[in-house]
Amino acid sequence: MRCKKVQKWTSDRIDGVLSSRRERTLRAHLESCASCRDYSARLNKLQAEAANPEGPRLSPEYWREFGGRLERKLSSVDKERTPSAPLFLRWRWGFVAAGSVVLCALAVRFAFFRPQKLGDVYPLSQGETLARIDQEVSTDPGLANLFDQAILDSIEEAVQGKWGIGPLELGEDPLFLESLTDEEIKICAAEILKEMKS
Amino acid sequence: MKSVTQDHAEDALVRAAQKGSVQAFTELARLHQEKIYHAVFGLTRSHTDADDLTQESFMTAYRSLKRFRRKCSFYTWLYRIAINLTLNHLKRAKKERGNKLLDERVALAGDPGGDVSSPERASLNNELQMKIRDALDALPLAYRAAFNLVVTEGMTHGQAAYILGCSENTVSWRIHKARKMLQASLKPYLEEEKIAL
Repeated sequence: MRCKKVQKWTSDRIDGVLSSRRERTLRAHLESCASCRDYSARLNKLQAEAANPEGPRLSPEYWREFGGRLERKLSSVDKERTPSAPLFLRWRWGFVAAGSVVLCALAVRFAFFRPQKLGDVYPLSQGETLARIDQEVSTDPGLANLFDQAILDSIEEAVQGKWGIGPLELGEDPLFLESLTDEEIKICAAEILKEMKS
Repeated sequence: MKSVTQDHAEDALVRAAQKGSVQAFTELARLHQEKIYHAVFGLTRSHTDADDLTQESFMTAYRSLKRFRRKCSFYTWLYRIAINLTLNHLKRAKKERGNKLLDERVALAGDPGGDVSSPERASLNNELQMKIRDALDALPLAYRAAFNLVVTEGMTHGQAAYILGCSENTVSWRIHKARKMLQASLKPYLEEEKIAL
C-alpha cells in the first residue's frame, strides 16, 4: 500500500470521515510502517494543539458596545429603506392589472361598439335574396323596370353621398361584382343613366 | 449542541427578523456574535478586522434576510456570509498591503478591545501554538479556511463545503494538504513534543 494514500486516510480518520473498511486497512499498514506511524502521531499532536480555539477573550462591556453599535447601524438601514411599492404597482401584480384592463377594454369595445355589418346598411343581402329577386324580375317585365330604376336611384344617391354614411365605396356594394373598381362602377352608372334618359 | 427548544426559539427570531423586527435580529446577532467573531479572528488575526468584518457580516445578513430559505441553520448561513466576507477581505488586503497583516497580528496582545487574560496569554506564549499559528498564516488561503472551519471550529466536511462553496471531497483534500504542509513545517516541534511526552 502506498504511504501517500495512508497520509490522506490519516487526515480523514482524524475528521471522522474514514470508512471502517479503510480504517482496518490503515491500522494494518500503520503496524508495519514506522514512517506512517510517525506521520500519524504528528498529525494527532497537531490536531490537539490546533483544535484549541485561540483568540482574545473580550469583555462583556465590549460585547454590549458591539451590540449597541450594530443596533444603531441596523436602525439606520431601516430608515434608509424606501417604502415598498403598493401592491398594485409591484411588477407581478402590475402585469395582472394591465392584462385585466386590456381585457375589460376589449370587452366593452365589442359589447357596445360593434362594427356595422353590411346587412345593417343594405336591406338586401347577397346570395339567396338576389337569386329570388332575379327569378321574380325575369317573369315580370314591369317589376324589372321598377327594380332597374330603384337600383339607378340608389347608385345616384350613394355616389352623391346622400346616405349619411360618407361617400360610399361602390366596390363594396353587394349589388355589384366585387371585382369592379369604383371608377368602373361610376362608368357603369353613367352608361345606365344615359340609357334611361334616351 | 443546541437543544430543540433553542432551535425553535431561533427559528421564531428568524421569522420575526424576516418580517422586519430589528430587535429580533439584534437578539440573533447577540446569540452568534462571539462565535462569528472568533471564526473571523481565526483567519484575520486582527481584532480591528475581526470587529469590522463581524459587524459587516451581520449587516449583510440583515439586508439579505429575506433570501434566507432555511435550507440550513441560520448560524451556518451567517457563517457562510462571514467567511466569504473575510476571504474577500483577505484577498483584497493581500493585494493592497502584501504582508502587512502579519505585522498587525503582533499588536494582538495589546489590543484595547481584547481583555487577554493570563491563561490566554500563557496559551499565546506557548511556543508550539505560536509556531502553529505562524505556519497556518503561511498556508494558502483556501487551505487555511478549510482547516480553520474543520479543525478549529469543529465543523463537518459537509458544513465546511457549504460555507466555502465547494464539494466535500475538495474540503477533504484541502485539509489533508494543509495538515501535510503544517506537519512538514512544524516537524521538529511536533517531534520534540513527542519526545518530551
